[in-house]
Amino acid sequence: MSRAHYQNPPAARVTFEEWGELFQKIPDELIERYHYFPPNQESWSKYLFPPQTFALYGARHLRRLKFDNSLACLRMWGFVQNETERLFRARQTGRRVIATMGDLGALPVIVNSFPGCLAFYPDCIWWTPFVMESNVLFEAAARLGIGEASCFSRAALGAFAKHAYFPDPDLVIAATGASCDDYSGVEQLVEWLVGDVLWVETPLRQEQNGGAVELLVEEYRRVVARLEELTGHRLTPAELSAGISRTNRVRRMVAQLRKLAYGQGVLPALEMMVVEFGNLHYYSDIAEWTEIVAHLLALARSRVQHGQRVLSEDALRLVWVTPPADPLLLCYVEDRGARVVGTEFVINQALAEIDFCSVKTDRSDITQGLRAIARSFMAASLIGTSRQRAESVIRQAREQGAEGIIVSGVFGGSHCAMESRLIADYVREALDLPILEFDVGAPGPEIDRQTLTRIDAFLELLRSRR
Amino acid sequence: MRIGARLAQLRSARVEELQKLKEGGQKVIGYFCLYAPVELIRAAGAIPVRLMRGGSEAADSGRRFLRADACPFCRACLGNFPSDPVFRLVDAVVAVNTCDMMRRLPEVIGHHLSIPTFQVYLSRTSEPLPHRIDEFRRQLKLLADWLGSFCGSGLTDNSLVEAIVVFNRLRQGLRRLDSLRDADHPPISQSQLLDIAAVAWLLDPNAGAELLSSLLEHLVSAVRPQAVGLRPRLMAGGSIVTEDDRWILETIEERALVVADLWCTGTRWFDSDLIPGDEPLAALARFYFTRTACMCRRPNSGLYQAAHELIRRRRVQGLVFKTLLYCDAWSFEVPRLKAVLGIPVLHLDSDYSTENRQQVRTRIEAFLENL
Amino acid sequence: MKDLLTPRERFGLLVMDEPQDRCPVFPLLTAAAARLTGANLRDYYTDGIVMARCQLQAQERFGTDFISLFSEVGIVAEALGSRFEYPEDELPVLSRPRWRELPDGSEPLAGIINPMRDGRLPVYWAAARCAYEARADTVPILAYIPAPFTTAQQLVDPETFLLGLVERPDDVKRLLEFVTRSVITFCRAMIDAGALPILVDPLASGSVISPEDYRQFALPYEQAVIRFLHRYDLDVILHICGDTTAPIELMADSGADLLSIDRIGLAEAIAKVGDRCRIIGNLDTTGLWLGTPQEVADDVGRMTAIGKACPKGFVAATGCEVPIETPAENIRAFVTAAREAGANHHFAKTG
Repeated sequence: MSRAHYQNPPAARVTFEEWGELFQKIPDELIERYHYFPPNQESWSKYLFPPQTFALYGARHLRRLKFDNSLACLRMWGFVQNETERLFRARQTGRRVIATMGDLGALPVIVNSFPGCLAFYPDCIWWTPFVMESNVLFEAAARLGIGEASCFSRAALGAFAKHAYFPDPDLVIAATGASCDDYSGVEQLVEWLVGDVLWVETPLRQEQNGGAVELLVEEYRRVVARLEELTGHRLTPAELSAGISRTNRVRRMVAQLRKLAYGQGVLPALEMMVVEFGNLHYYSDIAEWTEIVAHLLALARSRVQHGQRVLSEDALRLVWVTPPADPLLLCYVEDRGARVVGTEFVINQALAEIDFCSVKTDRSDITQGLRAIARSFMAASLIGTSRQRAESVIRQAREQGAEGIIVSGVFGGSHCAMESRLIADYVREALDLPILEFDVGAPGPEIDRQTLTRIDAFLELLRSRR
Repeated sequence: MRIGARLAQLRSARVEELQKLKEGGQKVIGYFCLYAPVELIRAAGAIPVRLMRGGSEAADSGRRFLRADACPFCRACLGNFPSDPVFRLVDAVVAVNTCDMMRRLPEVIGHHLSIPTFQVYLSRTSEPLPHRIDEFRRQLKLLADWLGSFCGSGLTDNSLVEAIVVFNRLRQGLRRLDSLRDADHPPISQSQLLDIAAVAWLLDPNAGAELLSSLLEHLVSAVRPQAVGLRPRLMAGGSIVTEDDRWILETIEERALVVADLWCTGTRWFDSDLIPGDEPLAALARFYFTRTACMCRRPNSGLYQAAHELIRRRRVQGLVFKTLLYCDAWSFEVPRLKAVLGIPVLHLDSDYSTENRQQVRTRIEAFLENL
Repeated sequence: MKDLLTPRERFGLLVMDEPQDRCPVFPLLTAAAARLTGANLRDYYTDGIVMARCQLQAQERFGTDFISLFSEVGIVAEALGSRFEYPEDELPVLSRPRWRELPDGSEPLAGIINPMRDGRLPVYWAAARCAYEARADTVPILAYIPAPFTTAQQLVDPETFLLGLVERPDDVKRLLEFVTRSVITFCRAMIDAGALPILVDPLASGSVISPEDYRQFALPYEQAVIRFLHRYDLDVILHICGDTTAPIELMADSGADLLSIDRIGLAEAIAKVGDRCRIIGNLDTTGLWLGTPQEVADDVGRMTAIGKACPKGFVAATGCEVPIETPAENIRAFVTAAREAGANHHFAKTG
């Protein structure tokens, strides 16, 4: 079967209802074709379903968003929205489900190298209250101690308490250290709930970093040892190496996608945020996610080749700092004639390839692989200074000719409170660009009026500077 | 002379003395929390002063640099640099990467106030694994080198051991005072202990230790009015508490005894001694790494164990848990504390503003009535 | 006791074949919701906002696990041209079917309903939108869709239609195909509005037609609708009230993920299809209406104890719609007893 059964319409961002119409034209053969956990072909593992499906199961915010109208993006959305079910099916089919919390980059590389193990990030549940326009998970977190005025990542604690968003993990690995306090607090209370957590240290990035890499290697050894104990399987260097290669394949494609999407406007910001975060945990199925990213990359290349943009060349160019928990914000700026040309979504550690090729020494034990992962992790956004985060923003803004910077935050989020202003200061000192800082409001059907007004005024200012 | 007046006099004399020492070329190094190795600072020939002031005006003033939802203590620190007599003496700041706010504070200080800072990285995870302690030792070596170059002096094992010995004396003195609270009618209150410790830390540690000895003698021998009945015995805990929070203690102590605490400006600073051993730097690393954990360390079960032990030993009937707004590490733990400690818990969450004091008083009174 | 899970979370676990904190509780509170919340029945089925409000209030008041948007099975037939009367404070009554006789091959059966315009379909659409916006994050919203067989029986004089099964089966099938297109169109409208279609085919019950007739005239069209719903990956409930002892296995052949059953031994149904479908059932509604709260509680307890053994999962429900005059305390007794008897004390250990 070829994809010719379905011809993508001309590139555009479409509404929920428009996707409903487009879905009627998707042939059954395509719906039957895509399954998670390849080569599995069980009927429960299909995922090419429209936003309507997930909206009906409570993802109410999908009704307000705009989506790319390509098959590749529909495929991506179906896969991403399907993750909860996928995790339960993983457990039902004998896979080991490992919660990797807090490090946003390295731990899943190790976990996924183990045969039959699958890593997921409870952290990413922070979007769920927004997607569902619901306070259910926040209320559950509040009962356990984490109330308002803290990062939305507290939703993960609520999810652990509920046992309904992912199966009780076979192992919880919690990375903490030079990262985020709110999430460290979540992890501590998760330990209280589940009774046993493998704590992994996240070192601070300093000018003299030698010790940090070796510390991480030792920490990763503990992870390996624990997984070996759990699975009864000894991780071979070849398995770890293959795991790194699989990771790198995704990261390489995502880097190319970022270049095309942010450089040439061929994919919307919302889909790109989903893609970037896929680098963390591949939405719990690296094999199928890799195919999806390849599909997206093919789409982006084809659009570039045919001059099909989804976002106008004339759109105002923005760099976005800190991922917005409310995805509607990304749609809104695009609706108002802007586009995102760079991001600093606190996941630098997952965006660059793990440099394993240049390691020339003996590969007969896993140390080299772990060291390569550790070195790559040392690029992490949150473990260094705010100046370093700002430098990444400044570099992207210069490269893409950005006209403005948006720094979205969370009221009460520990690193937002301390570094939002500092980042803005550094950027202001380096570039003559307007900066808009705001905190993302609570989950709901709309963006709050004040934020809308501020975004409108900001974009107007950028336009007037042309 | 009453203790309070004596402490005030000592404090102001010490500030004058520090000014003179500074003029004489000695460096005054401000540090923030109980993980900062004061022995190293002293051994490098500098004077360590703990930066432990909050305050409403200072916190407001700090809003120039930090958002309203940043830690009030961090904001107050920034506000205190230009105004507080101790903060104004500071030549450089040593901070330890503990909670997120505290670890980012030095960058803000450096950027906005142009004060040199040194950030020590301490593992957030508390299990004392060899590689973590080794890394902390490496951090202390980096600090020692930096201090040496900043202060223009060499740091030797001997000077380090001398510093360890004098600070141990200070800790021992504070522990002896604290142990008076074992009694049914303790001769010392928590607010007194807080004031005494603050001044003892500000003084040269030898002078501090002498002060503590004389105070101990005074408190043990003083004739106290016959105590009337037993009052509720409480433990205090939570985010950092400074003299700016003293009013809360005074409110509690009108009707109850605070006989134990979990504060980093209280018992946790002095609850054990540092044994120098053959390798003082390694001993220093192990001591600081393994001291009774701050709530922000992971896992923080060590702190819970310490709390259980204090409850048992000091016959504690209730916990007053005072957190600063946005202090995640401590405030997130409230339901867990209530669930596992087995004693009533009063949670007070506030910044340094003075507006809600009556409300806090009412809540304290209600809590004590229910005990 | 406060639930750990929301009905939405609970249903999610059920359809993923995972244990729940307790089995979902589902008295089929349809038009009875109007009475129980003091609304006029005619307002309920002619004004979507009233329907939604009654359902939302009833769900909140009784703590049930679903919201049921339904008045009666004639709505698609009405949209296709049958006439219904709307008596004051009574349910609609079929007054004139679109056809007296079965349309034969000479009459083209073209056209399709418009859910935004025809009959009372817009009422359902408005009710679904309203309920969805209000509570879809925590409670599944169910839109009851009359299946093609049941709908067709209200497009033609019912007796003539049933005779046609024997005498003019090809014309019946042609009519059913025509109806199926409209039923699917209505399903799509409900999906777009945010409600999960639950297919109801009461006139295909074993009390009305034989298993063979069911196999020929009801099943293929149920399957067609369910295939459409499965394109969306929806978990489909098929509800047939009356006696379904004979066609129960055929019902499972429809492809439905959950079977809602009425007059059939619960243990027997579980034995026959409980490894393929989740079972929803099946308290006798006469008992619910006329019994004492204690009797209701006892019956529900016994039923739930049997139902919990269903391998694919169980929803403690009534076999049919809750009768309009059912006392509120009996519904409360149902819900309380089902929650207690359906509790899963191993949840979170097995989850």
